[in-house]
Amino acid sequence: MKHGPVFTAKRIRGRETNSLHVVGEEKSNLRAKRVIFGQSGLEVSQVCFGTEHIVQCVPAYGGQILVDAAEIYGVFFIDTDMSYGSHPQVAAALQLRERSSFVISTKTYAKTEEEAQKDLNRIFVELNPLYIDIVLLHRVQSGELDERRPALEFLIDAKERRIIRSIGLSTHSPDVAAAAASMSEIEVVYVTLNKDGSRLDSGTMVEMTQALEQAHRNGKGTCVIKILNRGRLLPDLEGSLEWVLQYHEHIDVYCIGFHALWEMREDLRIINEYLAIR
Amino acid sequence: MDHLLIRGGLIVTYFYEDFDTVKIMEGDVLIEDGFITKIGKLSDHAAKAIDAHGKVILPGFINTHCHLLAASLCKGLVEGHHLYGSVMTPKRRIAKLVHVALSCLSQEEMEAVLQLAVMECISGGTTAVLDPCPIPACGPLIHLAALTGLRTHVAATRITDDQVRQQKHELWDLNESVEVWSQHHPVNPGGVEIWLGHQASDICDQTVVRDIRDACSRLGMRMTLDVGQTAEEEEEFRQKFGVNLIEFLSKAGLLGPDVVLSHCTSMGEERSRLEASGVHVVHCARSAVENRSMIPFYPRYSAIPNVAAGTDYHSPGMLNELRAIGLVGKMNTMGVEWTKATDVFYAATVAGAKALGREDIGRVREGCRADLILVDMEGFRLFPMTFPLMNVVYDGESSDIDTVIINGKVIKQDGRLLGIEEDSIVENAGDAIEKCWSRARELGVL
Repeated sequence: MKHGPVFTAKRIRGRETNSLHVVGEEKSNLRAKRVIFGQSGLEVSQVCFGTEHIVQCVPAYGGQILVDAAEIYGVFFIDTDMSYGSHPQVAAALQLRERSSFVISTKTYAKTEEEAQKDLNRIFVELNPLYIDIVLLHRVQSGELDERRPALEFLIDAKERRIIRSIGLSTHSPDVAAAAASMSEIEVVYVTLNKDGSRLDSGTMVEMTQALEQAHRNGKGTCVIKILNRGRLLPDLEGSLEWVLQYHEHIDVYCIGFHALWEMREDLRIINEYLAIR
Repeated sequence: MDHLLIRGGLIVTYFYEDFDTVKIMEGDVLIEDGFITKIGKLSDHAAKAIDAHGKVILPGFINTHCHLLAASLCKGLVEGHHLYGSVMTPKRRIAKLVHVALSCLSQEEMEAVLQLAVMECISGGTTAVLDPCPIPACGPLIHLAALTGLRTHVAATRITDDQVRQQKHELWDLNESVEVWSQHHPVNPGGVEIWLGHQASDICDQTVVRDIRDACSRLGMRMTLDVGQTAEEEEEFRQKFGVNLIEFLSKAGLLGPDVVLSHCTSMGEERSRLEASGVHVVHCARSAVENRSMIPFYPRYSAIPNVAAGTDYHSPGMLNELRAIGLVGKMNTMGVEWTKATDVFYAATVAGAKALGREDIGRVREGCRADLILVDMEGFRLFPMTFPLMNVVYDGESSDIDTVIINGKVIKQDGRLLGIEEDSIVENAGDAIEKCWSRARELGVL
């Protein structure tokens, strides 16, 4: 018998395709809009597929979810991270479609040039992606920017060599986000933003919204993360998304973790309906 | 050097444990001299190979609280509803039956009974156990462990019977337990480990617990205690001492990272004390429900204290227990997040290893002991495979476990235990159990 996961993926594909009939009438509300992601110049989907929750599925099944997200719902921007463990699922998606079908962002925790090189090597081995669209200096803490400068320099060099297309920074600290807003090397900024004020390493959510506004004003691509507090805000999904959406003028991309397409449908509906009347 | 290659499976592992996600990859596992030495695409490697296509490769389960003798003796005899209108909880009924067995069975007969449970363990994918074992049964269990390869942590334990309980004072001879340690330590480092234990910490004289703790500290042993398995026991302790048992143990400095507590009815209210001590807790969902004790199961996101899984006096097939934990955990949130299959799996592997004080098992990781199971995902029950841990936890049966490897040695393959005559094990165990039951009927225990 063929290897289980591959066989399974084909069957699942059929099932998900059928779901188009279910969503037919509201289809326009269930496709992510395309936006330009600030100074990176990349065209991305307004909703980004956070992959942390699909790490527990068979790679082929996860890859098919990502393909369907892109083709049915227009969510072709994928956020991954080697520590999440979602590289196998993203790699599976990349095997199923042309490289240009997706925009991929991934991350490094590196401080030194050597560490950054090691991470980038691993990313390329595990994803086999031809190129990476965005690499983030991940979860930069207060006072850590100088320490991570050598890693940033390595990413700048990698960008010049066209291995990566854009450089970004993610942080849970408003002061770091504010500093990144003024750094020419950083083209996109990912920041924590949520209704319950959780997942901040320092500062307050008010300070974070100010930093977000500043980054967007300075032309950075802005992406908000942890907007459902890793699922803890799901009981108030609509209220939580709408709380974040009130800052929509400063936000290019909403990164949300999904473990299934039905979750994405609901989030897309809320986001698109909110933005349609503003 | 012994080589074994497991080729082409779906590996579930924890490469980076500081992040709480399950990692899944397709690949091969190379085992050399009992250790996992390489994980990746190794298909060209010249070694004896097991084909794992269509199978998921998992770490073997760790049963951190089981009573293997009681599990075989009491199968089909004890049910939770006996609790109503009676002071005789399932636990006490079982203790009485075990006492009968200890008084009437020879060492060979006890070994025959234990072998039934040990084979059930291995066949069901368990590769390591912690058994608070009655002192007379320790020898047979240790012998079986050496024979079968099951990693066995034997906590030499005196079981409290009703007579002792009525005297409200444990007639405890610690030297008996220490003697087990002296005789068998170290029998087989990494294979058999001797602990000290106590099964009635909440109703015995608390000097006993102090004595055990002192002995453990003196001899470098770990200890395990049954605490608060039922609300009645909790209440009894509270009335006697004015505090609950966890508070007592904590204030007396008797808890620590080398201590494993089972059950912990008061875990919800005493969580901060447990956290501070670094003690480990074992969740046994089936016996908790049977005793009507809705003990919260803390998922690994909030796994402080570290929460492992055990079968208690129930049949030691871990998949049955995992399913129970997963399902009961959803009913019993008590402010805790819903239990997920991955949480349960973590409890039965990594958390179990932590409770045993071992970094070398419970994971599919290079450098770890090769304690692995291969689950066939292409049978009617588990196909199609999507989120494999959900498939295994909620729908898996022992018969789906195709291969069991302990310390690099294949114990079960193609669904059959190797070199084992199942009929003869069942027959021998049956004779011994009937002898025990017959005596129990005479004594009015059954």
